[in-house]
Amino acid sequence: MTSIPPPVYWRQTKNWQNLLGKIGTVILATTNFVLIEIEGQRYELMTVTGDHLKPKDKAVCVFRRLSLPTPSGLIEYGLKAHVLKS
Amino acid sequence: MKISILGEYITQFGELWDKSLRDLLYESATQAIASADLKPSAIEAIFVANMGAGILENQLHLGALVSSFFSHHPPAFRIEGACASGSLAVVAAQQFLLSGRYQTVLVVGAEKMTDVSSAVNTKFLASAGDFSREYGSTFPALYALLAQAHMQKYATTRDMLSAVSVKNHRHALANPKAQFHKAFSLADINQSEIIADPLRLLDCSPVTDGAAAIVLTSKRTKSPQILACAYACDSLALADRQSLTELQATKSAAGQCYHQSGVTAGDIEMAEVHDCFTISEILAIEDLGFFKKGRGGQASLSGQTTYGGKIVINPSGGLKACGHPVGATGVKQIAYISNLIRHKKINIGLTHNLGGSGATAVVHLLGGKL
Repeated sequence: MTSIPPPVYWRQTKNWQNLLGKIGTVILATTNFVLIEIEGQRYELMTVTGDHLKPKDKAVCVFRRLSLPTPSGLIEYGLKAHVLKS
Repeated sequence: MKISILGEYITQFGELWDKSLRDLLYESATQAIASADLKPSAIEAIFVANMGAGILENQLHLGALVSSFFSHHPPAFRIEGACASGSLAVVAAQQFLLSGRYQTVLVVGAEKMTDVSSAVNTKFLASAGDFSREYGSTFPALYALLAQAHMQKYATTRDMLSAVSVKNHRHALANPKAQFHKAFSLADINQSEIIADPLRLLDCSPVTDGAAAIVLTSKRTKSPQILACAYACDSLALADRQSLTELQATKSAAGQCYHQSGVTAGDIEMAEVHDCFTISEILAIEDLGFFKKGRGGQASLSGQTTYGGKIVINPSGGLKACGHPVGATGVKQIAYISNLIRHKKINIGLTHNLGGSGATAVVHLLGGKL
């Protein structure tokens, strides 16, 4: 299975900057993955490594590496939910 | 007009080192035709269900592949609907029979999954979700979110999830074709490795090789009949769902089936439901109307879903213990229930097959000749 082609990656991610820095509320959370509501819309996001988000936690959308780099192809970056420390 | 199931066959399910996808398709197709007591030349068309051969084996065009087993090369179609591919292929075959275009057809579902790594299988299975909306998700993660929602709203417990797995592994002990023949206790399930909280390793169905086939006819027979069938869809992404504690596609398909047939949920003696994870069986038995919403976990824990209870769920062991070769599963469910009816062990049974995290649901009601 090959790495994601650059045009596909670009199409999938071109609007992600609209969510960067936005703060939302976690609806449901499992290991490294959450359903989060941001400005009335629900999104499914991976969580930042080491974060243990719970329902009702506030989290901010940040830009992080999504997978381990391989010898060829893109190093995939994307949105993740990061716990918001008060 | 009712469609009858003239014959059925299920291969061994498991990690089948010595069998290729072609071997599995050939075995199931030829044995189902033999079981129907037909000559191969009686098959007018073939419907092949498979999800992953294009990704896992670089083998597409499965319709022609199976057709080439026959000297008369019947026309053949490949149907893909993620893990619901098998039952969708049956639906497609039924439509051709009901239209009068054909009178006797073969449906075969198969998947060969164990030749690749877990990482490749995980990525391949994730293709049944909305890749652009659920980036980075895995199916255990999506079903874990559904489990979290059910636990929060209905106080479903760890033991209730585990009871589903314990029961299905116990049922599989009596099924020689099942992938696993090992009994587990609640404690075994509760202490297995966390995959995606709250789902643990023994909450999850396995990676499986296997195939199943049935022969359908519109001719009058004394064989088990398809009393009703219905299918429905919902959004691919969980984020777009109205509710995370029910699968709307299942409710819709089941409602249509009961309406078509006049059969009620209370009439059904056994059901093969889509337990890709333990929470999915709990959701299914509620959404199919066997138990009130929110009571499926307690029903599982109190023995209401096994022999001696209200209804027997997954007598084969289900996806959890019999195995889940995704393209074969829907056909296997129908073949298994049909065989029980043929041998007069039950009168009415139901099958429920899901694609993705409930984006596609197919329900079949089967019964003896009325």
